[in-house]
Amino acid sequence: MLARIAALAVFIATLGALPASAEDVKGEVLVVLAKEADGPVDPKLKPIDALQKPPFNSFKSMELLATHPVTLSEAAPATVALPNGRSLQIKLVERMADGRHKVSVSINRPDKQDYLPLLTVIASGEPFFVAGQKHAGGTLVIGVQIGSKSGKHSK
Amino acid sequence: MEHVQEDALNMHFDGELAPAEAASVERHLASCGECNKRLVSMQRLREMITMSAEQVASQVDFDAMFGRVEQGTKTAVGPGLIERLTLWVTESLQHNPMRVWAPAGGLALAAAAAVAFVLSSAGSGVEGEEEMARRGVIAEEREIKREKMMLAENQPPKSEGADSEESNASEVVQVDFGSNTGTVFEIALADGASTPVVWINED
Repeated sequence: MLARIAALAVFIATLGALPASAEDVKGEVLVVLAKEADGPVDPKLKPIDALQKPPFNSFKSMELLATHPVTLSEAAPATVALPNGRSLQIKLVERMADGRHKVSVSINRPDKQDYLPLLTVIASGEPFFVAGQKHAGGTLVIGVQIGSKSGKHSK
Repeated sequence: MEHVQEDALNMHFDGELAPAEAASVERHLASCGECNKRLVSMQRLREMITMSAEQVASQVDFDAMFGRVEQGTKTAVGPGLIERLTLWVTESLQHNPMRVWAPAGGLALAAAAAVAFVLSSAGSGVEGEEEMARRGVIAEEREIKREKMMLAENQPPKSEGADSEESNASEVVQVDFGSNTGTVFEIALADGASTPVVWINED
């Protein structure tokens, strides 16, 4: 019995010591509608430094339409439905030794092929933005944040 | 739609616009394919100039070139001081003799003073010449180093991961806009980091 418990403990310890590449990476997609017309800026967006700088600060109003938590893995892409009927697809390509994650991002249109394949390397926790799509009288600003700011692979 | 003026676009490209003007230009660029094409043309032109400068520089053997220059300065023989003085004295004696004797007197006095100075500092003349020669070599080396530094400034940026300071920065590796056009730029953040932005132009 003691031997079985020891074996189980060793097995659990081995699972815990598996490399980070076997784990999923968490992230978040922010969908913002920015307009040049006067209006409020969502308080949740104010801590995002990049949105307070040019060219984003020329928009007079910003509405946070949705926040989508995503879980990325090499095996399957994460898909986020956008308010303009398109979908954003993110796939983890590589976990880099420095803590960053290389991901591929594409925006699909239902009736056409992917028109924006985008390969990017992202610092953990620092969002990057895909903007410019027109929607509801404004411009969609999509912020993609992968991992945590510590630069370590998130679990 | 009123397009960005050529001067303003040039200043924006060189990063010389005030923040408010730059934002305005950025906003226009985000929605104007024509101005974006002009900006891309500027970027390509600069890249071509940089590339051609690098190619030319890479084909030049600077050591051989400086060697030839040095050899040329040694072998080029012009009229000597004695020849020039002789010619000047001959011509002056023919036209205005006083023009010769007055400076000759001064020259004699100066020569006497020079001889006295040399005698008083005997032994230091050789060292002085060596010092002058050494300074000349140093000046030449500095010139070569300056040229090399100028070339180094035109070298392409370091490869990915070469600079450890940038290891945590976000960067766009590859973008394909397909049938659309777009722009990739970076927003500088307060902590010195930067955030990439991919802007799709939907005309």
